[in-house]
Amino acid sequence: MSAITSLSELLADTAVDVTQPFNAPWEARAFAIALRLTARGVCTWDEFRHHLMNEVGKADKAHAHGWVEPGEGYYTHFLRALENLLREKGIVDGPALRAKMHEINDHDHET
Amino acid sequence: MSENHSSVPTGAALRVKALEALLEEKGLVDPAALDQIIDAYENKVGPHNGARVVARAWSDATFRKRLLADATTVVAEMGYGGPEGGHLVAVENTPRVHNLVVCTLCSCYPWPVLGLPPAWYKSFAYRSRAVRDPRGLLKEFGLKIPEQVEIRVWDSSAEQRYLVIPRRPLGTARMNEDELAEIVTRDSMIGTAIVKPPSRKGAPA
Repeated sequence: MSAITSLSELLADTAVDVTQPFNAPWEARAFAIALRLTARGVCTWDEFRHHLMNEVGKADKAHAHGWVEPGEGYYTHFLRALENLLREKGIVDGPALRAKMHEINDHDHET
Repeated sequence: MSENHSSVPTGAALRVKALEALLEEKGLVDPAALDQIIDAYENKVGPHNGARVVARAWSDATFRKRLLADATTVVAEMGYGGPEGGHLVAVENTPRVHNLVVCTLCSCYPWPVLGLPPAWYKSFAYRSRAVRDPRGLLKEFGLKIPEQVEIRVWDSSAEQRYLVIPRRPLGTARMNEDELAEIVTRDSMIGTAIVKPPSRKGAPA
């Protein structure tokens, strides 16, 4: 999906199911993880929201200059915010995440 | 082009999978709980909840007054609770005022009554224009607000979420609450649409 920048294009985009909150399973998963972490008291929703606003704000700044990162969307900001929060809390850092990604990748290629 | 871009969601999917696995190892999330949350927001919580609130406000003057005074309590009494539901404010459209809701900084939205926001609500195009040019923005939604009608834009925040009570359309005097709830749309409760009278079979549109 290419980046859609104007509202009329967005409203006319028939590829997006307007009745469904998520466009891909990973978006739903990322959302559920964030919500579950707040329910477990790992963080508050406001703490998460703070990171989300940062990521959305960064993208907005680029957007205002006419630059849209290919493939970027709300949930890529959301996911980055989640990673930032977990790093800040000392729960999951970058190297651990990359190692796990490799592990899953290798495993998927073996099977 | 889509060939190149398909690598982005795949990367994101892998990242999420890895995050979930790590958090599961730490005992912080479990797949069943995540499935339950997803099911709730895909199938249970949604604008049909808000539509029931609006339909009752249209049918019951006492309820409407209470709703406008303290939406948080009234909506919780109807059983619509959960995260992001605190500090709800109901704003009512009148012949002189049209209300429009936005979250300029991220995506704050009254989940218990409307579910999760649509893609356009979270878009830069919507967020950046709702405050600056609401009348022009609404035209893109096919909604022309007469010049003499004031447009009030409500910027949502962590402290406050908004539910628009749209105007009850003409020709609905005989409809009961259930029937009314069916004609109330999500967009009318955000303020980017108005509620249209139900189309009758055989009647000209």
